[in-house]
Amino acid sequence: MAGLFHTLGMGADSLFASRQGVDTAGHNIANAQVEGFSRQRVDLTQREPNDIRNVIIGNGAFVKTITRAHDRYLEKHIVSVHQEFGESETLAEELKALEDIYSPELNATVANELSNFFNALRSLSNFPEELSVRAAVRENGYNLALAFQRVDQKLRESQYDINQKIQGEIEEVNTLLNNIAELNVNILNLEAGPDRTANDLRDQQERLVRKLSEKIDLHYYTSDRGMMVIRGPGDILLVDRGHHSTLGAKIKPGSADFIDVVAVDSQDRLLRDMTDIIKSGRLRALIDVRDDKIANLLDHNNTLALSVADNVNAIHRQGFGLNQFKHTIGRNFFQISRDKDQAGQSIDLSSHITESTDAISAAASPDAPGDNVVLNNIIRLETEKLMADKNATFNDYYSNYVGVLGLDVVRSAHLEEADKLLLDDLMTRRESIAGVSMDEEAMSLLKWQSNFTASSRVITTVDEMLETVLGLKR
Amino acid sequence: MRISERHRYNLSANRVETARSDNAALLEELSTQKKLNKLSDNPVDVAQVLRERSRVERKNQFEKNIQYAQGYLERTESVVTGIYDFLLRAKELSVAMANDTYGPQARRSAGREVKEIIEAITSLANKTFGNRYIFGGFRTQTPPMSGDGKFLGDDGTLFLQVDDNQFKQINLNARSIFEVNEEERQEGHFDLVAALDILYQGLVTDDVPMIQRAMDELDNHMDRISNYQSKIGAIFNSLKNSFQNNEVTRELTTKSISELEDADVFKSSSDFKRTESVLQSTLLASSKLLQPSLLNFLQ
Repeated sequence: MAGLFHTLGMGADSLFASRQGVDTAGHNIANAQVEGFSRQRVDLTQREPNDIRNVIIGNGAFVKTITRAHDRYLEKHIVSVHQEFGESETLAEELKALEDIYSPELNATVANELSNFFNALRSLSNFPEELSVRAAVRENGYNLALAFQRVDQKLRESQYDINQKIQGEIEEVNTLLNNIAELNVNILNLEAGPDRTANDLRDQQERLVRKLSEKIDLHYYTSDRGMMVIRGPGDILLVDRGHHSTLGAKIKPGSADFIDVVAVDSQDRLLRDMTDIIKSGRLRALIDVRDDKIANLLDHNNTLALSVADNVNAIHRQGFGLNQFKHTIGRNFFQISRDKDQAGQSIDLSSHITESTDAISAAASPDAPGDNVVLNNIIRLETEKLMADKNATFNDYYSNYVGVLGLDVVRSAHLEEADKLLLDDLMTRRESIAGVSMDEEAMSLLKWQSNFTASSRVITTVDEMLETVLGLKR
Repeated sequence: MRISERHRYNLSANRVETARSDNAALLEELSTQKKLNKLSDNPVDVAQVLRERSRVERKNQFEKNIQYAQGYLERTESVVTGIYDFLLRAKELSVAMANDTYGPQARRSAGREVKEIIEAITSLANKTFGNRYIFGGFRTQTPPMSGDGKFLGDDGTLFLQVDDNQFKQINLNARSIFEVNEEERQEGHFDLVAALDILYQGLVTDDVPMIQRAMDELDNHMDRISNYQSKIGAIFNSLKNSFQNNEVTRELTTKSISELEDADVFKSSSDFKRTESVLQSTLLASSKLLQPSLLNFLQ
């Protein structure tokens, strides 16, 4: 049977519920700027009514659960777009860095030095016997070799940097996987019992998955008790409730320090090599730039260096020099490694030329200091179509491959922009569902505050009633 | 649509960022005066500019080549004219001295003059342009004419590039000035200095038939030299044409490079003004947008 104390209890319950309302509003306001936070709402429910003297009478209200505003389908969509965005953003970022190596503002590009070198030869063709002009040819030849070396070196530096980044990403992925698995266990513990949702932990869990999806492609589902199961590239089980696999690095076969990404399970057994099966995310972009884009650029630079050196050498070897070289032929102008992969970094002036400008072989006949026949033959190389199956001059070849890189940069920037727009749009939708609005929370505060005041009125009223009842005795 | 706090701030931040980056891009264009600052500004145009820049460099070099060749030819021509003038004087002497009115005395003194002419021609034959002997062929570092009138040069022909795929010969075979060819030699003709030497011997020894013989030889050599001069003139003219062609192409190419890479200053400065005012108003709007909230009105 219910008495005044029951009513007093109901008022106390109401006070408590109002306070939880204010609590939640305060929690929302505190988290208004926290990334990934979903606003929370108290789910106030009527209690089971009592049957008192044949009347079914209300029994007040209580907070059944606190729910979060959340759309899990939107969340999945965001995760999948995040994978694309991670890839396109990284690709655009890395290609932009490469672009600077070939900046048209730079005055020491390979194209520039090539043209300077041939023009120096043209000057020498005017004055084959002039020492200062010979020195200029040597200087320009050296600059050309340096330009090839510089491109090679910069590309290799970027390649190395990206390799380091891959290593870093692997570590970050592992931290995320570990955190998600830990959160899974925490959520399991916290949600034990019916109708309990660990809202804040689930927010965090989703935020981590979103971060993870920036790096690697994945799909996931939430299994029993809020624990997440994540499958990565090639359906590898990345997180299974409380357990997780780990990514590792393995030195690529045939390379000094480039790494392949591999997956190992929680017992440290190698699952598989992931390098080729990662489909999107930052890791894919980094691997692509390292193994494909930069490797390609290096190859172009090597091809051009080798072709320039070989063609110039072939003609230069037929020539006679000055003084101690005036009766001998067979000297190379450039020295270069026969291994094509080393061409760009190994190209240099041959030792004869470095030691003496007399070794520059301009003449087609012995002991003829004014003979420029060999020079004229070398000069012709500049406009001869020697590259790309005899379809392009040296300069064409350079301009073309640099142009293709430029188009790549433009394309990747457009892709990034498109993915960013899409992601922004989804995030806007997410914010409109889950984000905190101050106006709303202010209203909510007002609401709960007045509720609180009213509830306390119930208690004071009961108090007065109690006094009346107690006064009966007097 | 519900507008959340984060959304409001993100929105303002994004808008300001977009306005700022547009503004910065135009500022760069305006301060460098170039449309092509990065490869990705327009890859197709950049490739084109790379190609055309190298062409302009080449054309500049061709112009230098042509100017050098012109200098070289002018020098050659003036020396050849000098030689011709001396031969003319020798011819006059020989015509006069072949006449019976002059006695041995006069012929001897004329002989002395011829001796000087021989020395002068030897010295002209060893003239240089810069530090190269113009008549030496490829042997540009050693005098092409010995003290006794032997030609020591070779038949090297100097070609200079005057245009893509076009090389022009800038020296003529000097041997044809100083030496007769094998055929003529068999017909009994003599080299230039040898012919003058015959005249000298004829004058000194007072031998009139020998003087007359030398006259014929001199005629032969003067023909060769005037022939040589006209060839120089022809090369000179064709160099002039090449120079003009080069100049036209260079200017056209420079112009097309400028069209590709130079910014239109008026357009970029008006665009810059526009982005600046966009930025201003975005900042103003953002400050207004972020202000009001119901919280401000609660007591």
